[in-house]
Amino acid sequence: MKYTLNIQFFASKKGVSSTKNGRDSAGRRLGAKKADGEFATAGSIIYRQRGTRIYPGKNVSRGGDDTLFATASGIVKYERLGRDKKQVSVYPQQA
Amino acid sequence: MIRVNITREDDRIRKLTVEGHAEMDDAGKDLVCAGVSSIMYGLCNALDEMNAGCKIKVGENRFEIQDPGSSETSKIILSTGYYQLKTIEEVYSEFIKITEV
Repeated sequence: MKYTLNIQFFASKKGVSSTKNGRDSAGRRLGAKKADGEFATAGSIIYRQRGTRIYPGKNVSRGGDDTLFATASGIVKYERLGRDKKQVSVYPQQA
Repeated sequence: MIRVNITREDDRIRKLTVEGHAEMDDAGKDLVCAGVSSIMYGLCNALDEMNAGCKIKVGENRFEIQDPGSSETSKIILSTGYYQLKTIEEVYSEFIKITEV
């Protein structure tokens, strides 16, 4: 016949195509684990980071994943390092 | 909303236009659109196959049928199409509206 049926002739929205996106990894909970002025025991983690957003200062070392941890017990201090960097130090003090 | 406009003269349908989007659901799942589309394609094929002497135009989401003649065949076929559309409108008035102009 002359007119071939298009059964969705009066439809509007084209079928919404599926997206290949929509995946994401879980948050890594980075950031400070000890605040400025807080007491940290030797070996405790102070700051979780990717790369050196904050540099290790006195009595602080950097782990393999750039985590900063205390190498002595004391009070945590966040300080400036040069013009535009920051570092974190631990000043020994008994708890 | 699909809009159906009907022009009558001498107790018969002289012009029938059907246009718009049903917007009941996405393309491929729109039931009202399927019903109305089937009616309109069937109507056009019936008028064409039975040489009812009507002028038929099919555009983007739009059908227009004009019946200038006095054939009893086209009168009955167009009336049938009208009642089919009316049947859908009774239940799905949210998606199709028939107006006599």
